[in-house]
Amino acid sequence: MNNLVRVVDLHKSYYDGSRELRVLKGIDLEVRKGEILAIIGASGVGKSTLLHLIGALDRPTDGLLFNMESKFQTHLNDEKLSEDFERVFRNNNILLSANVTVSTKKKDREWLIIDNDDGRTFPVKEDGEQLNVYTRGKVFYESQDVFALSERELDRFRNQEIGFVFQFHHLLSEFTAVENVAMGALIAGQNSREAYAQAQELLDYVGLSERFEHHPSELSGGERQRVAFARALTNQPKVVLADEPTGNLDRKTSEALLDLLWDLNDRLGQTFIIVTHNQALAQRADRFIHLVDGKVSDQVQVIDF
Amino acid sequence: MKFESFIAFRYLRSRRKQSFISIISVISIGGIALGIMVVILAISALNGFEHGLKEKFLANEAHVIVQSTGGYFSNYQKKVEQIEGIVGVVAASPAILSQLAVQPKESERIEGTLYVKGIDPAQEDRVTGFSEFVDETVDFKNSPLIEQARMEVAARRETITGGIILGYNVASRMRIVKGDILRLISRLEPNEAMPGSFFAHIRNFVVIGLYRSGLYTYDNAFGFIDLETAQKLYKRPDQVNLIQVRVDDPDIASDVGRRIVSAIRFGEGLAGIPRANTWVDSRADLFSAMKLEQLLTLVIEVLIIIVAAFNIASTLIMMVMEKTRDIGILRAMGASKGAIRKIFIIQGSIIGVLGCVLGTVLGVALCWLLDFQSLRPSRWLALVLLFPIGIQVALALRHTLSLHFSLKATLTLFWIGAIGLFLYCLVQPIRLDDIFGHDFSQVYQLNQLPFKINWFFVAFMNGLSLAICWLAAVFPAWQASNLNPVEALGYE
Repeated sequence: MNNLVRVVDLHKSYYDGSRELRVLKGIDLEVRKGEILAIIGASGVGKSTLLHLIGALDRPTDGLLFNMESKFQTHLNDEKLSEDFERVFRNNNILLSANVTVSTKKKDREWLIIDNDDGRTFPVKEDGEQLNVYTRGKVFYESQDVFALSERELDRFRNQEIGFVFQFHHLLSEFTAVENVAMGALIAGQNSREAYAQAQELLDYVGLSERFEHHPSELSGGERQRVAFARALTNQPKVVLADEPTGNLDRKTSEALLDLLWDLNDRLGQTFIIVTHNQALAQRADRFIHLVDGKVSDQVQVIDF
Repeated sequence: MKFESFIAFRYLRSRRKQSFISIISVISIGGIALGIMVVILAISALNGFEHGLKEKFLANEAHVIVQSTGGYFSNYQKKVEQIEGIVGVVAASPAILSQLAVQPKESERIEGTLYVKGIDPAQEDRVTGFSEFVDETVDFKNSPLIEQARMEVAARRETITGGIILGYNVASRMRIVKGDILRLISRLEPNEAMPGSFFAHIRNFVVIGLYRSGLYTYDNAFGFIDLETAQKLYKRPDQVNLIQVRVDDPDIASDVGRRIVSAIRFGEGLAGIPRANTWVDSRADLFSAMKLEQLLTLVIEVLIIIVAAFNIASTLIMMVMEKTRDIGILRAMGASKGAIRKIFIIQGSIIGVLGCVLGTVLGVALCWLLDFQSLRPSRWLALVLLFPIGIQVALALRHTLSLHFSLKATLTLFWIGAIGLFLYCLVQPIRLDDIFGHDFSQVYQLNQLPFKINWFFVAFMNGLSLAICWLAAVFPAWQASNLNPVEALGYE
């Protein structure tokens, strides 16, 4: 399996008081090593949210699947699930394998049904007269379930395996180009000489050899975004996540930047996930997926902007 | 350098146009520095005052005074020798102290009273350094002034009992000069011929010298006569009513006092046990008032530091607000919550450390200048110096200098020099004899306000301030570390 990233049944809701805003309603996708995947969709459809979840910058929420009568509670306290239970799942279009275990969090009146065959997890929570069955989305990097990592491991993971490029360059304005690029290595605890050497190499790579000591305010929009790309490549991440990287640039500059992106993909074999509503970019990508109403749309042809 | 410190330092120096942060951090540093400086000055002044007074007391006074509960006692020379044999005692001397009414010159009225101390000059010198403070050679019996006065009063068929050395202020108050005659009324006896009236025993003394120690108590109310004369005056042959003792370490005078009490007896039974008062006992109210004053000052200064710490807290909270996006970026790049917290804690600590260092340097320098005895140029010169310094400050605020390092260093040295000279002229010892027209030098027995730095206290205050600054940084840092990275990046 040459899948680098596997996203399984990802849900995300935001809560405004008691109002629930469901942004992502079960996303499944796979990213192959070395490819450029574009995620397209209308504004506010949850593209950025998805990107943040893939980047482990945010955690998914559990998505509600169905509810059932509370009499099933007694079954949950057994080690194995009863056939009744499996039938309820089947009726709701969820097929469980034979290898299922249940773990209990007594304090929160919460149970976790885990399908050991594929790692799917279904939290069951008591809600008055009924039991709510949820699905817990996962993001795997190779075989690593990132949300199973501790806070500290997750920080380390973001530092080492993921690079971010944002719509607005989001460089640290107090620091020079070299310092910005080196920051990721410094955070990792590398000594500053090595970190700066690596940063200069990366800036050379993106064509900014003349701009090492410039502050972001002294750089043009395109140059800033190049610095941002160089920064994302620090620590040789598995994947670079770019959120509308050309959204703020004029056509000519954005084309030059995209050429750089493809060049990096060619020469370094760098995997990219790019969120965009730039159709040309999507067409040029190895693959693209279309996000509609919080889900991946099958009808990939419908991308007329 | 760890990246947390790297970021913290850079944020403090942030000099973007739209950012107030660096100015605010300068103000925060100033707040702490001011607090520390003021506390060092105030406590040093109080401490110096206490020390100055102590030194005066110790130079002029006996450290321990031994008295008998029975008043006068005889055989005193033997007691003196005994006391001098006790560990810690440097010297001892006998004396008679009593209060007498005074009639100066030919005045018919009694002009108040005088403490008259009968002393043996040779012995007294070893205990209180008496003759150092007298403007003439101390000779109660053969001073030429006595002979002169004798001839003067012979015409009136009066006699001269002896010489007296008078406190400087007593003399000027009574308008007496050396050679004048002072009448002391030693005793009143009932006049049996006229019940209800008294005979006064009046004795003529010649002022043979003036005593000026700088201690208000003595200069203003004391006269000194020969011990033998005093004994005759009071009809107490071979008796005294106190023995004065000098010890080698005044700080443990009370220990020596206890040793004397247990070694000496003036008679049989309880009545024979001597009383020993130390120099601290006789000034207990003064010294405890000064200690209380220092404590109160300390409390107020701690409050100043706390106010300054609020400054730091608000600076950091503003910094966190301004750097919210940066915090999101750093978190996305893998900086942990702990690292974010550290950045802001380090910033608070830097402000604290800089404030403490600056405040300590200024405070100590000012104390030193205020205590430094030298002929200085007039304070007006300081005002003149203010002009070039002010122009430099104004220029530096308007234009960022981009100069070569060596030039910058030279300029910095020049700056430090100019400010140093400014302070050197401006900050001069505070004279107590003319503060807004008031003369405090006599009351406080000191000519100028002394400053003495208590280094232990300076260290304590620095430590306390750093701790408070650190605490002030905890909340903003915690707030920063708990920002949701996605929200911090500006997404909803």
